[in-house]
Amino acid sequence: MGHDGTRFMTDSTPFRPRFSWSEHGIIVEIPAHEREVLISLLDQLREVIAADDHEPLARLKLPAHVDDPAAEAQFQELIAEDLRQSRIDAVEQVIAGLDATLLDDDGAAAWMRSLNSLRLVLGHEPWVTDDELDPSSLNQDQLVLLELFEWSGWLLEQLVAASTSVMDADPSDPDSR
Amino acid sequence: MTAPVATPGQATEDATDLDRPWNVLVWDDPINLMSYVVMVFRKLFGYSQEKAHRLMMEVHVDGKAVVSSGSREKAELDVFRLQEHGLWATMERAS
Repeated sequence: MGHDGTRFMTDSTPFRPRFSWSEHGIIVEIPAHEREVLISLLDQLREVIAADDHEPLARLKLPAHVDDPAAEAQFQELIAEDLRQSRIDAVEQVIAGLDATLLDDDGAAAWMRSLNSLRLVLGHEPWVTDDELDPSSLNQDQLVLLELFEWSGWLLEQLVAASTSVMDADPSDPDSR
Repeated sequence: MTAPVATPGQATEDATDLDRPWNVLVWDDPINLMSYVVMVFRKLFGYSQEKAHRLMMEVHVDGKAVVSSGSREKAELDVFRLQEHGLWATMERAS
C-alpha cells in the first residue's frame, strides 16, 4: 500500500492547503496554474477510461472472482460498463466543478475517486511505486510522470484529511458518538 | 470443452455451499494511500476509525483482509463499490 503521496516532494516551503475542512464543507483553493494541469490530466484520464482498451487501465480493471472464470465473466458482464461509466461521471463532475470553492460530500467523493483513478493510471508501470527507485536514474518524461503521480497523491492526502474531519464532525458517525 | 459431470457427492456439497456466506476481500497494492483506504472503509461500511484502520493495516501487513461478508448479492455490491473507489476487491465463499 502507498504510505503517503509525497515520497519525492522535498520542498518544505509553507503552503496553503488545496483542500481544508470548514463547517460548511470542504474549501478548495487550487491555484489557476494547477487547475490548468488538472484539467489536462483529467481530460486525458477520461479519454483513457472511455477507450477502455489501454494498458494503463490494468490497475482499474480488476477481477472479482480470482479462481472462478465463469463467475468472473458473469460478474464483468454485469458491472464492467457501470464501473466504467461511474468513473467517467466522477471525472466529468470534477472537471465541470473545477472552479468551485466549496465541496459537498458528493463533490468530495467525485474528487477523491478521480484523483485516485489518476494515480492508478499514472502508477500502472511498476517502477513508479518501486521502493528502491532512484529518481536520478529516470529520463525527463519519467520524471514528469513521477512528479504528477506524487502531486496527485499530495492532493489526495489533503482531501482525505479534510473529508475525515467532515466525517468526525458528523453526529451519525460511530466515532463522533 | 466437455460438459461437467455431476457426482453423487456434488449435490450435497452444492446445498451446503448455498448456506455459506461470501467474504469480500481487499488486497494490498502499492498505490492506494493508507489514509484513503481507511476513509473508503469508513464511508462504504460505516466502520469506526479504529476498525477501518485495523482492517487497512491487516491488508498492508498480511496482504489481504476480509472487509465484509454476506449474501452473494451483497458481496457483489460491496466489490463493485470498493472497485469503484479503486481498491482491489475480490469475493469468495467463506470457508
